[in-house]
Amino acid sequence: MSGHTEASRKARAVLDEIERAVVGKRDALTLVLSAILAGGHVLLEDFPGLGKTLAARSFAQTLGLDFRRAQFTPDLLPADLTGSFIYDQGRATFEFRPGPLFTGLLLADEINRTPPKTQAALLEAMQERQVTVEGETFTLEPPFHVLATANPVEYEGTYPLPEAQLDRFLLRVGFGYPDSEEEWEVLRRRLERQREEQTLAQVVSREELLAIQAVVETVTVDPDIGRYCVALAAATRKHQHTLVGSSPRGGLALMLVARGYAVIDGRDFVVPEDVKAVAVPALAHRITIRPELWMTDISGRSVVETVLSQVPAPTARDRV
Amino acid sequence: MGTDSPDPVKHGAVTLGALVLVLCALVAATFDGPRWTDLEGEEERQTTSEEGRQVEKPDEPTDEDSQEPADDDEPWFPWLPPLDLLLLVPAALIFGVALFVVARLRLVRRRRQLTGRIGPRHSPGLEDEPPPDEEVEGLPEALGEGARTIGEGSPRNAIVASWVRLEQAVEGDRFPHKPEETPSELVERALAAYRLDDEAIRRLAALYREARFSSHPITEEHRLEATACLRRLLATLGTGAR
Repeated sequence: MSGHTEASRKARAVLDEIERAVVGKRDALTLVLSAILAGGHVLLEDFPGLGKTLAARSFAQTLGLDFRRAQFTPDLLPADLTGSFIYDQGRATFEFRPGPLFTGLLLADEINRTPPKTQAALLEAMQERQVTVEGETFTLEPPFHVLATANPVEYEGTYPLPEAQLDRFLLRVGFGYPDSEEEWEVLRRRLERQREEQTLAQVVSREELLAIQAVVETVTVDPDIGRYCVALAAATRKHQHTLVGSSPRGGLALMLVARGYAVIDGRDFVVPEDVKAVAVPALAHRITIRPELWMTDISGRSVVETVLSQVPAPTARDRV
Repeated sequence: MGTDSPDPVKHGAVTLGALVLVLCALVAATFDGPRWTDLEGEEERQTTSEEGRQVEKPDEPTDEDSQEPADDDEPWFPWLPPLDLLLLVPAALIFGVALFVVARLRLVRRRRQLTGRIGPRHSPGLEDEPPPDEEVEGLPEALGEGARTIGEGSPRNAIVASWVRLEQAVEGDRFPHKPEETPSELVERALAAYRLDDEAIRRLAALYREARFSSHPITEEHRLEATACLRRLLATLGTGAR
């Protein structure tokens, strides 16, 4: 229990520090940190200027991770990410020069602006946590996390991620616009700082982050909670608005992120509230809506919200 | 995969529209038919006489006879449109109103489908109103019973059982059981429906979640805390303590 308490304390300290830079987005930041503690990758999808890049940089600084940023442009090649062999004339050998994938936290900025070939190279590294170049395989040292950003409105010159690749992201999170008070707070802090760049203190080391992730692995998930996750994912497949519902990977993501969420909340067990809190960001991007509904306001989010209001939550009655 | 469900509202709209169109046609036929027939007969007779086909020559009308129908056809108010056209206006209005009502019904139904609120509608303010005395009467008994029996069995089972007793006590016509609800959501709803101690019921819900979903030991301290929560709820019931 003390391990969980300490992990929770550190996780909250990380969020407090990040909130110095990213104003008023505690819920979204908690979701992102839950996914990182669960060992996953996050897609930040929202309009420009809402703090996606700032949030990614802040996570890297506070978690003590090496940070690399790759701007995904139409001419980016897989080798630009993975790295390549360069001929060393002095030694007369080929030496591997690692690309930006070899880091602790990679910000894949505007991931939908690069062609599918490069996207696939990144997503393969995300899934396998290794890179193969010229037949030689290089392991990506843990912790390795990708925070990718995408703009949901500009589609010209973009390559939207296919469903199979979206499925690789543990969560898809949107930050949303701040209210007027929060927006003023952003301005006020900038005036107070008297410079553009924001530097945050490192709260945990790389080793401490690995220790917290190990604690998350010990969180208790009651079988009824596990079945609840399965039932929610399955219900998205039967929903009348869906062409393709969530894969079993969606149910797994739901459970994994709920464990991270529980640790941040100071618990060593998952409750139905955790599952409901992470359900929309964990499942909505895995759902394909029927084509005849594309022009309506029905979305993956609305499907998950409906499912949450219909699937029975674990109760006490089957225990007594 | 989703399945198509028949949409009775859509069929109803089509049927209603068709019915109104048929009514309009009937109205138009009733007022236009005889006059058109008469005019057509007259034109036909004129045409045959001009072509010189001697089938049956009609009687030569006198000057007076030929004048009279002309006087009858003369409208009283020539600046007004014909009567049949005037009757089409209310018919079109009825049709328009019917279409609007059907479209509105479809919109409401669609919104309710999206938000998953298909089913019997409850008055929104119902749960916010304080419950009648007869409904509150069952709650102290359940809380008292919970406080008495929480000492029995293991702390984990005792806490879970006391929560179940509380859940069953608050349920009723005004407070229906919702299987999709989490303990926190139930607490929020119960606080809105009953005058309960906010802190005590939240702590009891947290103890229940710990007892129900954790695997670490639940001790006598947890039991004592749950007992204190039940007593506090019992003591403050109906006093409006929040």
